[in-house]
Amino acid sequence: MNRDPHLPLTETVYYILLALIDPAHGYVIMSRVEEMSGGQVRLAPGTLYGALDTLVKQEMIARVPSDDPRRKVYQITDSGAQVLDEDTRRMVHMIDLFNIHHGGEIR
Amino acid sequence: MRKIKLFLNFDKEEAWLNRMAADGHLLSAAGYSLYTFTETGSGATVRVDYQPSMSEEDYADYVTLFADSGWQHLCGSRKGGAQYFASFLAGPDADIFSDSSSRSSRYKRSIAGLSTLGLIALIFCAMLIPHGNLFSPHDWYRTPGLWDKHGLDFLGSFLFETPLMVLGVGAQLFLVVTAAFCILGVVYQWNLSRKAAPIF
Repeated sequence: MNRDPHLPLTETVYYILLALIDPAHGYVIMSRVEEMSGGQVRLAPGTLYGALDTLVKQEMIARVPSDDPRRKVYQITDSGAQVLDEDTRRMVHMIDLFNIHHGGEIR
Repeated sequence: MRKIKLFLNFDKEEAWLNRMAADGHLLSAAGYSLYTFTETGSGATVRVDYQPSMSEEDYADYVTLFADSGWQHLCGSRKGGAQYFASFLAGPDADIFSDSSSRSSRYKRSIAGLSTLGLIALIFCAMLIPHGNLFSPHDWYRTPGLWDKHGLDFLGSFLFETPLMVLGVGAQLFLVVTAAFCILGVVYQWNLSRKAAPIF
């Protein structure tokens, strides 16, 4: 089976897709990503805005209706969820390989 | 305070706006290389983005996302162009981009804008210049026998036609300069975008 052309996802995109399993607008995405990454990934607004734009064009996320006219709300699409699964499998495979070679020990 | 300056390099533009802000002059309006500043006591970090024309809904969402994360929109047009933001709390290192590829895509959007303008200017050049008189200065004045006239007769005709000549030749010159500026700007920003996002 051919690999999805969007793989591997960047760290930024992986976190955004993960944050959008439940609907959220821009600032909520930023907060969720910062929290999930333990403060390691802090998205600046210009970067997030561009990433959301690209992900909508790639149909990995889509807008969902919201009451707030000033904040667009997005959610992951079925194809986005598939890409997220596939990338996770890719990383789990690499971690399995690492464990085989290092006996599960991270030095 | 007003200043006239022309920037194609967003990093240099930001550096200049931040020096102005450090001296107490915060940007309040910008467009067509005219910058207007208001006096401010509080320190600010100014950053520049570039966006194409947006719908009202898209623009509200864009500005609100920045506002939610502590960046106040200073100025910029919904119809496209540079967008200026200030942060009053974060330090001088605060940025509106958190990775180099999104920093560089700011130049890609600006290149798209410059190319469109350049293409329009080139099309008008191609339509008007072959029928125009820009490159034959002896045809700039079109009054028959103007140069054979003498005295007041000459001066009257000459002065009468001069504003028309300036408008006609100036319009052609403006088109040529605009097209050349856009082409050079695209090449310059293309190099900047490659420097901003090295592949490795």
